[in-house]
Amino acid sequence: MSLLSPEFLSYLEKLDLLIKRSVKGSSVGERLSSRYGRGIEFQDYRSYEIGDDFRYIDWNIYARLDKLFVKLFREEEISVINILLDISKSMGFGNPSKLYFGKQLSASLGYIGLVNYDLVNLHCISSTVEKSLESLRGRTNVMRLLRFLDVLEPQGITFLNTAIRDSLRGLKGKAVFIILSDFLDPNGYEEGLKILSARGYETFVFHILSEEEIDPLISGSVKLIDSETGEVIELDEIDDILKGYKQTLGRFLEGIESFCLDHSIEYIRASSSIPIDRVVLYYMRLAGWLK
Amino acid sequence: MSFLSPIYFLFLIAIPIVIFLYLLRTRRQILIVPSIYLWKRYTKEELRYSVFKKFLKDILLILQILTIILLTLGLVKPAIFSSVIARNVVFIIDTSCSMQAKDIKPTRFDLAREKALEKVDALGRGTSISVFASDSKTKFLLDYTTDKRLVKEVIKRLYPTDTEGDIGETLSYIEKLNKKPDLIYVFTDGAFEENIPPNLNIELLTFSKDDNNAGITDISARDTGIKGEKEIFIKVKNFSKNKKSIPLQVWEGERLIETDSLDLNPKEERIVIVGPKRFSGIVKAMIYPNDLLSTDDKAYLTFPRVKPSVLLVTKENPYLEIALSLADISILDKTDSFNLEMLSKYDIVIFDGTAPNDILPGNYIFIGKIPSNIPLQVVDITERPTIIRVDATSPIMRFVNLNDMTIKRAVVFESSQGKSLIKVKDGSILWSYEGNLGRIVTFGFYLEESSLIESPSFPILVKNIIGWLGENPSPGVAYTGNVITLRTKKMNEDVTIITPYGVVKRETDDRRSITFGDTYKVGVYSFKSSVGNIDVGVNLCSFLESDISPKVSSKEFKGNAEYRERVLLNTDVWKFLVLGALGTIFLEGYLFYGRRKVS
Repeated sequence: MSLLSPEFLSYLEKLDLLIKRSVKGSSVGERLSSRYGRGIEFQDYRSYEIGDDFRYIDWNIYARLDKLFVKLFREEEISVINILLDISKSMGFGNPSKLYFGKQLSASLGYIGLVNYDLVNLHCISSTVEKSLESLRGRTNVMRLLRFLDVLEPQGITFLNTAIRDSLRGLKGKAVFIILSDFLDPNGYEEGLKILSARGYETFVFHILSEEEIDPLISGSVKLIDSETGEVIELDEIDDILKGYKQTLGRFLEGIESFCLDHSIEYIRASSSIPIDRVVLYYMRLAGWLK
Repeated sequence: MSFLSPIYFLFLIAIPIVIFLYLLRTRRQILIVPSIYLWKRYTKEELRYSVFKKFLKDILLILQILTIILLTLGLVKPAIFSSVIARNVVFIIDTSCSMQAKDIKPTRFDLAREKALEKVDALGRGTSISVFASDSKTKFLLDYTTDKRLVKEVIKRLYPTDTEGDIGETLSYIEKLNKKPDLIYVFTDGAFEENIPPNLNIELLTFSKDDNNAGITDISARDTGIKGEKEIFIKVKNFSKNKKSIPLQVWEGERLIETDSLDLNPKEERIVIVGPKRFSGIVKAMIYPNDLLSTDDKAYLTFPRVKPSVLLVTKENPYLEIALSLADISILDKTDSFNLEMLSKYDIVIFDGTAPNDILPGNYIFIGKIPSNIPLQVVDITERPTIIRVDATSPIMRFVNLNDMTIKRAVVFESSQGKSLIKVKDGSILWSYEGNLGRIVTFGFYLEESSLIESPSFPILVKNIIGWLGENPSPGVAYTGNVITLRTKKMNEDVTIITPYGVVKRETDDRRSITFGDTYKVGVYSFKSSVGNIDVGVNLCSFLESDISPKVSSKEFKGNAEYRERVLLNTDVWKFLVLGALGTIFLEGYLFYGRRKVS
């Protein structure tokens, strides 16, 4: 598979997504929950109360102390990881393209989820959910995930709010959302992220930028055509206004970052030109996304 | 504008070429970008900056085109005729009596003044304005000035007079000025002769609507021939289109002496005769026509009781001079030579031992000699004449006793006219006349050759003669705007004049006379001086002013406010144009390189 090298995959096997909130899905999994319940890992004792299952009474202690104590076990739960990958046309830019970078990230995070026996859903979004690969679980689905990612092409116009809303359809219980996008949406992103935050989903936002957005290599008088909408803007003497553009970009990035901070959303941004292994193995671990 | 080398207009072809090159230069690189969202956001934030940049870019093109235009204009060598709007504007405001008419509220004059002030405001900033008022005189109020505030102050101070207007004369005056106005605004009711000079650019603004007016058009007094009795003639005319019933009152002082009611048809004139009567003091005629102009509803005549002025033409006659000093005389002047013009200034002239060949009508005393044109023939020269009869009925001979009078030598007259006051054998030696030539008393003897001068009756006789000759003064009357001339006894004497608009003072000149021309209100003017009080009635009595009907339409004299003067400017203007083109090139270079340095 060209997206990820085998060596990089071997590194990923040792990693796990650091989920802080309870993300209990519909079935039992391998991820230890912070809650007590059914499981095999002993955690603690407590006094027996009427209604407790007799099976969990520790008869040895009863024999010694003549008191009833119940054994408590750490519940093991399944994590539902929803990866929302922006595949709009604007993601097709950059070297490598932001979409390729997004696919690499999706593959990496999906692989980590699968090897940790989490339930992985991959939604490809633009103005809505364009394609989905759902309910992947276990190592056996790795190839399916990679093949799915491999054939993705940029398409559609970005409507993040609509797409996020669409991805929530049919979703029950808690889940993790990982959003991979360039966030170049004139209609904004705030509404969609607010919904996720309000429903209690643990959300990770990965903001992908291309080098040509960070430092545009254009000069003179230009006619810029929007790749998604076909809208045109004419600019004269662009060299003179690049500084102003960069300031605008800075304000835009700061705006997203502070929004995520305010809504307890994890946020990382990176250029698509940064190697994926460095992003995953260094930046994500540094940011506390992976352990 | 003319062009001396129009072929160079071909150079203007360069303009489309420059525009074409500009368009080529501004061809934009087309780029497809992920999203223009951030660019749009930036341009919204920096809109002002972008607009400035665009302007800076466009201004380079404008400068290039301007350079080509200036160069082209320089090459074609323009000979420019300047076209300027009126620079020198004259305001003539009619202050004649008819402007007081109330057919326009409050008056024609008030509206005219208001419109004049509006015109001043409407004129351009650099316009020079001069102001004239026109009534019986042309009043030059303000020389050309661009100070509109001053012009408005002058106009605001104007008021209408009771005088007859003459806009035509004012226009003629302005026509003769060195500095010709480009435009003349005339604010009038049109009541003036239409002798407007054709070479003046005039915009006439007329203010009149109605003709409802009747007025006194003349007042005069005539002798009846009966001992100072006179008849007063009053002319009243109805100028309106409707029939009018007009009450008339005539007052002598505080006493109403005549009342009448005149039914006048449209445009009808009626003469009312008052008297015969010995009038004295001030006679006032009043009509009450209920019309739009009240100034012409009254007229005055005065009958002054003034002492006569006397000129004594003599070599030397102390007895006569003493006797004259005792008579009721205002002025006594003595001379040994004379001319006819001099004689007309005095009420009575006494020729002692001399006489002109002919006399004009007047009051005269001839002693010893007579002129040829009086109706008197010399019959004889007699030694020691015997007085046969004295006419004691004559006022001249009242209280005169000639019983012991002796005369050394006398000329005997005979006449079919006049009265023989002292009759001798073949005629008379003292004769009086009253007729076309006025009043004349002739002595047939030299006073110093008689015992009369030593007689107590001599001063009485002189006083009687002076009293008879001076008893018929003309009534004092003048018209508004006229100059009243008055003689007093002293030089540089202060004369107080009580006018209808207040008290003024004047000083007599070296010839002991004053000339008073500020008679711009109808009424009685009282002159208080060493000769006593002299009242003069000043009246409007003008057909022109009383006829307040609308006359001249504003449309007929619509001047061209944008009067244009064609002046050929210096043809060397091309040098300045080329210089301007070089300037634009430098400016463009500065902007272009300056901008590059910044970027």
